[in-house]
This record gives sequence, structure tokens and C-alpha cells, in this order.
Amino acid sequence: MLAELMIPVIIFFMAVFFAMGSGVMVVCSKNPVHSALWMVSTLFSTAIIYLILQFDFIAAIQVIVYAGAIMMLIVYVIMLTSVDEEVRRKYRLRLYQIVGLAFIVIIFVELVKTGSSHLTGWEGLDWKHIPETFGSVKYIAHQLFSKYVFPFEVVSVLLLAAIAGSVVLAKKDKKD
Amino acid sequence: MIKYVWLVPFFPLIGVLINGILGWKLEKINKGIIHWIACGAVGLSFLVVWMIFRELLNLPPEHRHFEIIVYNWFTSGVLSVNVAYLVDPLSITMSLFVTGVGFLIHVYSIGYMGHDEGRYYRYFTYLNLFMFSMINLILANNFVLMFLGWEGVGVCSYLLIGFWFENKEFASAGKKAFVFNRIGDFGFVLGMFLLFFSVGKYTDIYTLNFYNAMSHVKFIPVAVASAVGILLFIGATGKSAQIPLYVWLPDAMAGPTPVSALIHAATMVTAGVYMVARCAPLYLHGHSAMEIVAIIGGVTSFFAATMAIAQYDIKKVIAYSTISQLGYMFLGVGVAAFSAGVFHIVTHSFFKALLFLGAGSVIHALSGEQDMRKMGGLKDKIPVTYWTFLIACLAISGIPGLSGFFSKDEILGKTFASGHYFLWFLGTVTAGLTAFYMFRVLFMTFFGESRVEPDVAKHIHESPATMTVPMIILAVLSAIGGYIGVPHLLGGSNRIESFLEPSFSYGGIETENLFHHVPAGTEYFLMIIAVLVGLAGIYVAYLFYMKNKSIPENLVKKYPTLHKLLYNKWYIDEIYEAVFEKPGHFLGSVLWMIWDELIVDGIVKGVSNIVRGIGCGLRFVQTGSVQFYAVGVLLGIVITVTYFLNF
Amino acid sequence: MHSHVVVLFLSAFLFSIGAIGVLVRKNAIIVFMCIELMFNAANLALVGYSHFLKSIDGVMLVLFVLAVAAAEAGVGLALFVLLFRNKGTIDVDKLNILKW
Repeated sequence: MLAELMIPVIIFFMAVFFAMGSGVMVVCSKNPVHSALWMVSTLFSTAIIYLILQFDFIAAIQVIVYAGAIMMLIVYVIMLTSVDEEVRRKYRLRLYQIVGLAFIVIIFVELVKTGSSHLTGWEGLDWKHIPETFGSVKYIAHQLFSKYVFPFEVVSVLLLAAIAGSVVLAKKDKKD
Repeated sequence: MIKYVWLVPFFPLIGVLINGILGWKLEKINKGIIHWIACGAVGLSFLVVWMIFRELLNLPPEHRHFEIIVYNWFTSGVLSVNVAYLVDPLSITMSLFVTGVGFLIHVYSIGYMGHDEGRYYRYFTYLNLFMFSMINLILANNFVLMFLGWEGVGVCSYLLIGFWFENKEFASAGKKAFVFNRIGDFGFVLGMFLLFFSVGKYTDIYTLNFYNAMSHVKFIPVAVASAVGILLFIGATGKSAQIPLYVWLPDAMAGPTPVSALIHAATMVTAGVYMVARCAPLYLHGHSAMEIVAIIGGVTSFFAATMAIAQYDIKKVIAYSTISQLGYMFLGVGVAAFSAGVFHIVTHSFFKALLFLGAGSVIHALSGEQDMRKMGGLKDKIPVTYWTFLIACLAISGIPGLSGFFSKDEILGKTFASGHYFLWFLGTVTAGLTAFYMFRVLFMTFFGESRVEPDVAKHIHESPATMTVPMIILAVLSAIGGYIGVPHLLGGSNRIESFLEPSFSYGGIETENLFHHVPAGTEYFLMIIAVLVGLAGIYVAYLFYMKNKSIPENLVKKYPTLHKLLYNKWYIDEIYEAVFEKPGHFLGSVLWMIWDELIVDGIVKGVSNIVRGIGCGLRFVQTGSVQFYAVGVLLGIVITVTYFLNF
Repeated sequence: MHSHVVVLFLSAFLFSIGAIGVLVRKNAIIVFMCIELMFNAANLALVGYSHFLKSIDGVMLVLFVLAVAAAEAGVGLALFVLLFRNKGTIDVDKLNILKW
């Protein structure tokens, strides 16, 4: 019984650590292809976390759109441009980069500090209060086509513009 | 018909729109279309006014007052202004002769402007626009619409004075007229504001409607009423060319002669007199303003007459004569003889328009010559012009039986009766001077041996029928026009006075003590004096310019200073130049160099330099490196996060 | 401590890692991926809060973020292709001609 309860928790924490690890690897890999693959793994781990948090639809979308479509596109573009490994910088970080890193540290510390008050003992995955239908496709669809119908339409126009824009940008100029 | 009064300004407006928009095309097709449209529009207006006039005559006098609201122009707070037309004896009398004389002069223009190629349509557009504005000025039932017309006629006057704008002198004459009118308009606007404010303050009725405001004007203090009257009169001095703003009118003769006849003699320049008459209750209440009107009018009439006697340009003489006659009109309204003033407006518009048209005909015959020293002996060559001109001269000189006699005598008689003996004396002397300079023109132009230059002399011809017929009609009117106001003394009933009286006497202001009773014998005596003075003027002119031509030359030799003074128009233009223009020019230069160049430009350039300096410094932020920009984004995030998580 | 706190920590971590990547990497595509990582971190935070507050709004926002990210990826990657075609490189250090 305990083991049955523990399995999702274990999966949850594994997904969290895996997401962290592959996130670091995205930044650290020399080869962009490796980077992309680590990215896919991050997205996958995130999808698992969504799933555990009962947002199955979002998890599916995450895998289909992000891991499936966008990362696919990125890999294609890597193929079109440079599969070479990145040459490491021969010089030290520039001043602005150091300042930027300092900023990042500040942001991270601020964010963690806010959450640190909740850093008590582990109390579980907090499933009980969530209704079954909360993250379901039906519920989200209902929201999407009622309350969020205007942003939905706007986003559709944005996607259309993006399609047209990318076609215009990427096509070869016939005159050349 | 009265409710269709809006048709009166509407027809010329249609003319303006058609000729203004399509005129350039129509002129290429056929010039006839243009003048048919323009003259037809004014003719129709005249017919409408005539019908309204007939209808008005059939009504009992106390009901002769209508206000036709066309639409609400604008409403702002307590002020509501309608485009609305006032039909009462005064406005109808004015619009009757304005449209009538206007129509005749439109017809005359067909012949006079016939040789002007390429902007025939523009001339008639301006002329119709003038008629539209003038009718609005006259028929308006409130100050704002009147001011619209007031400004409109000013613009048309400017456009038509500078009609031959290639000539720089003509163009600047237009500008001069405009600037002097602006000075007057400033006073007019201030007067309007003050009236609106003070009537509103003392009676709580905020209105710019004439009848409404004038009926309540008796409740405001006399001093305020006088101030309003003086301010409005400043506007009138600009528009009607009185001291001190008269100097534009002689220069306005640069325009085509029909324009001088229509705008600068018969109609527009009388707008000031009309306005004073329109505000009769105000001036009766603020009697010091009225006193000023009378004094300015009397003095102007005398001074302008003295200037007229030494001019050689035929149109300039008539222009000064116009100023002088306008002075008479102001003298009339200034002594509360409003109907006499308006009566003189009407008769003056007949004979002065005729004088200008006659002068125009002479100029036309002499291929543009305006100097009287190069005329002479034209009597037999252009007989129609001569006879009509003679009638006009007799009328303006106040020869009994002709129109000028009745109106001028009415004014002088009322002036005497109101106790302004000095002004009466000035007016009588002016009558003599008027007769003198008008007959001087007549003798120099039509009599004696010809001094015309030989190559011009070959082309002398009588004007076409479009020009002579209006002149003949005006000559008839000048001759008989006075019979609408034959005084009681001479067995008449002074119909114009009884017709106009309701337009002045509704303000509820005591007017009984304004005029003393003058015995009939004294009145006869005054009349005879005026006539004798006029005849004396004619005789002196005959003596000087027909019988013994050496007299004027001897006089010039004997009194060179006086002649120079008169010839140079008392040096008023030069004085204005020295007193206003030179300091203005100097002030302008100083302001230009110190205020504009140093301070304003300094600030503007300084601001731009500061911005440029900052930009020069800041452009190094634009490193072109994406990651550098990303640091900027991160800084934003840091600030946001820190703010929202800590505060 | 419930699961959403862990999710929020993960979100902060991934966001910072992504930001570091944006700052230090030279390959434009990797920079782009790091931005996607930051997007993802934001999504995580939204989902975490949605779960915590039992409100669907956060999830809806995630959906829109996904759509916008897809649009951005389409245009952005097209730009990289164009850039590579014209400049022969997508090294952000070398692409700095748009300056003062």
C-alpha cells in the first residue's frame, strides 16, 4: 500500500532531478545536436511532472508540440546550419556576461528565498483536493472555447502570421 | 416669402461654388456662362429681397420684425449662436440697395473686365463671395454671424484690391487694407465680448442676438455701454475708413474700378455705419460713445474733403470723397439721426457707385489712364458717361431735387437740432468742398482742351452697353432716390424715416431730449445755406478750372506749404509710417534678433543639442551583441522580481 | 511542503540555467534552445500555481505560451536559416554589426 503510494512520488522526484540534470546538460553540451537531445529530455521530464500534477492534456501537448514539433524543427535547422561542435571561447568571460551572471544569481536567490519558508517536511503530492476532471481535455476545451475564446482566436492569427513570415523569410530569393 | 430669406445669401453662395470650383473650366468653354451665373445669382437675391420688402410693407409697422433661424451654428455653455437671419426695415433697406447696386455693378463688370483673360472666373467668384458675406453681415440676427460677414467682406476686399497682384504696389495695397481692417476687427471682437459679458452680468441674459441684447442694454451702466460702443466703433472706423484707420481706402483704389464702386464706395464701407445703426439702443444709452462717433464722423468728413481737393488721380479723389461722405453718415448716426444716416447710405451708394462707374468708364475709354492732368475734353467723345457723371456730381453736391440734397440736408439739420453747432459748421463747409472737388474732377475730365496722350486718344470710345446701362439706371436712381425721404418741411412725409424708425427705437431709452425744436424758418435758412455753399463750391471750381486756369497755379505758388500738405494728404501716411511702422519694424528686428534668434532658437537648438549629446553618449550601449542586450533584459527581471517579492 | 513547492524550485532552477545559457553560449540555436528552456520554466511555474490554487487559468496561459513559442520557433528558426545563408555563420559573437 505504501509502495503503491510511493511510486508516483518516486517518479515525481526522479522527473525533477532528471529535468534539472538535462537542463544543465542543454547548456553545457558542446555539440548542438546533443544540446537538442538533452532539451528533449528536459521537456519529457517536465511532461511527466505535468502528468503527475494531473494535467494530462498539457502533458500531451508538451510532448507533441514541444518535444515533437519544435525540437524537431530545431534539429532540422541545426542540420541546415552547423553541426560542428562549438569552439570554446579562448578568452575569459566579458564584463557584461559576469554582470549578467550576477543578475541571474540574484534572481535565483530571490526566487528560492520566497519559497524557502515552505521548505518544511515532505507532505505528499497533494492530490486529494483536486477534482478528477480538473485538468481533463473536456474541461480545458470548455474553458478554451468560452472564457478564452478571444485569446484563442488572436493566437490563431498570430500562428498564421508566423507561418507566412517563416515562409517568406526562408524561401530562396529567385532573383539571386 | 419672409421665411425664405436664407435664399438671399444662398444664391451668391451657389454662384461662388459653381464659379469657384468649375470656373477655370467654364472660362475655357465660354466666358458668358460665368457672368450669367454670377449676375443671375445676385439678380435672384435682389428679387427675393424685393419680394420680402413688398411683403414687409403690407404689414403693420409694429409687426415688421422676423427672425428666421436656419440652423444652430454652435452652442457653448451659456452662449448659443444660430445661423439666423433678421428681417426688419433696417436690414431689408440695406440688403435691397446692396443687392440692387451689387447686381448693376456685376453687370457693369461684364464689360469692364471683359479684357481680363484667365481669371475672369476668379473675379466673379470673389464678387459673389463678397455679396454672400455682405448679405450675411446685413441680415445676421446676432453679432457672431455679422462678424462672419464682416470678416468675409474684409477678405474679399483684400482679394479684390490685390486682384492684379503681379503689380507689387497693388498687392501691398491689399495687405494694407487687410491690416487696417484687422486693427478695427480687434476692437469689434473686444466690443462683442464686453457686450456679451456685461449684458449677461447685469441682466443674466447671455446672448449675442441683436434684438435680445439691445433690448436689455439699458440695464448696463452707461460707462460700460460707452466702452462697448467705442470698441465696436473702432471696428467701424476700420471697416468704414474713418480717422484714424482710413488710410487704406485711397490705396484700395488699386483694385478694378467696379470693385471700388461696389465694395469701397457703395456697400462694404457702409457696414460700419450699418453696425452703429443696428446697435442704436446701445449708442443711445452710452451717449459718450455716440458723441465720439459724431465727432470722428464730422472731422473725418472735413479732412477727407480737404485731401480730395489736391489729388490728381480721378479714383483717389472719389475715394477721399467716399471717406468724407462716410464721415457724414457717422455724423448722422452719431447725433442719433439713425434713419438720416441710413438714408445717406442709400443715396450715397447710388451716386458714389455711379461716380466710380463713370470714372471706370473714363479709365476704360482712356486705356487705363487715371491721371486727370492727362484727360480733358471728353464731354463729346463719351457722352453717356459725361451725362451720368454730371448727375452724380450734382447729386453729391447737394443740388436741390437730387438725392444727395435730401439725405445730406437731413443729417445737417439733425446735427444742428441736436446742438452740435461746430460739427454742423464743419459739415456745411465740407458740403462746399465736396461740390468744389467733384466739379473740379468734372471740369478737368470732360471740359477744356484735350490733354490726352496722342496714342491713347485714338482709342477713345464709349463703353459697351453692359457698362452704360447700369450707369444710366444708377443715374436715374441718383436723381430720384431722394424722394423716399422728402422732409416734412418740404411737404414730404419722410417715408424712409417712418419705415426705419422701429429698427432703432425698441431699446426703451429716452430720446426725447436729444433734439431741440428748431423753428421752420431756421430750418429753411440752414437748407438754403447748405445749397448756397454747394453752389459756391461749384462756382469756385468753374472759376478755377474753366474760366481762369491760372488761379490754381497761382494759389499753389502763393501757398506752397498748404498745397504740399493737401497734396500729400496731411502726411498722414508718413506719420503712421514714422510712428507705427518704423518702431514696429525696429521692435520686430530687435525681437527677431534677440528673442527669436537667441532665446527661442537657442532653446530649440539647445534641446536638440542636449538630446544629441545624450544620444552620442548612449549610443555605445548599442554594442550589437545579443548577449549584451540580454543582460539588459535580466536587469529588468531583477528589478521586477526584487520589487514583487520583497515589497 | 507539497509537490508544487518542488515544482517552483525546479522552475527557478531551469530559468536560471536557461538564462546562463543565453548569456554564455555562442551558437545562436543553443541560445534559442535556452530561451525555450526559460519558457518551459515559466510554464512549470504556471502549472505549479494552477495546481496549488486549483485554478485552470494558469494552464490556459501555458497553452497560449506553447502556441506563441511555436510561432516564435517558426519565425526565429527561419531567421537563423536566412542568417546562415547570408553570413555563413550563426555565431552570436560575430553577428554584431547592428551597433552604434
